[in-house]
Amino acid sequence: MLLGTAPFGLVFGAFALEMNLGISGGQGLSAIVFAGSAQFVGANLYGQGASLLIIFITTFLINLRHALYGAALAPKFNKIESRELCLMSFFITDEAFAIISRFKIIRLRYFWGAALAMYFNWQVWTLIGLLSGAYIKEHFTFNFGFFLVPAFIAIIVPQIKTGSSFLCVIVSAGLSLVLSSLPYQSGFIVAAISAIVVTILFEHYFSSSSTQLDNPK
Amino acid sequence: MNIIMIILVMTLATYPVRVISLFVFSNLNLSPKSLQILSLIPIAVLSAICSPRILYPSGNWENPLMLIEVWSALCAIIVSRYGMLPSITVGIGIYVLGNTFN
Repeated sequence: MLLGTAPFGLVFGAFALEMNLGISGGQGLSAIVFAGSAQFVGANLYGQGASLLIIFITTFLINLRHALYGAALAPKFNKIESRELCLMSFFITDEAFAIISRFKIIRLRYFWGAALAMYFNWQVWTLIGLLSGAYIKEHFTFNFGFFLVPAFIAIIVPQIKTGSSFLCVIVSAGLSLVLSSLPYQSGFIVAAISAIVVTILFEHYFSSSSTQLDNPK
Repeated sequence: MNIIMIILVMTLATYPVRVISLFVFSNLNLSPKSLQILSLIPIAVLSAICSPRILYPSGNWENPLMLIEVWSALCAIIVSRYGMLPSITVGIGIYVLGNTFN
């Protein structure tokens, strides 16, 4: 996962420089906001001279998927003190969620190990991107958004154990493609929620078929 | 526009969403059915994030068979049974090689 986020951080650093955020501004966004794709959009809006209100609303909409993360992780965190929970929530990003959602019980030391590794990895690669922005732009033409995909695939595939989970993945992926032109990346959220609803309805109305799918023997 | 204000505004739009959802749901006693629904969230969200990056990388529809992202993702799926590291190595490796020699 650290490998996957490295190019993403690198490109963010270069992008922040291009959007005139400067080294301190780009690093500040990574250190204080720590929100991956929302940072790209925020930096882009800043570069285009958007108002603070527009930046706020857009960032909020992009980060709405974190509400789903909180909902999924909360049952695993229910014996943790409020103060620590406040601190932990800062580190729940796409990548941290992808890792910790795999575990049924989350041990605090594992959480902090994963979260801090992600955080400092992001900071280091942002800084390298800020310092070498011009070189990166000139020499690399990759679709850097793809670098996280293999890591996410490695998380999704082992969790497809039943017909219902397979249906959920197919519906979510398909709808996300269809809705990818929706603004502020809202297609992700709509696709994910719709897939969950479809899966629940499928299980409710076709539970016997679902059982057959889940237990082929 | 002041960069400090941008950082402040973006923090205000990011952190409360994370912390509030975590607090709201951690204080609820959820039924097994609710927990089952919540367990679908990771695969639903991650699939939604991945599919446009694989099949719609340039923002325009293209023949999927001609996309290096599709072949890299397929190889990553095949080796994902061996764990995360092989999946990342093969997926990114094929993508970088495909882009370099294309």
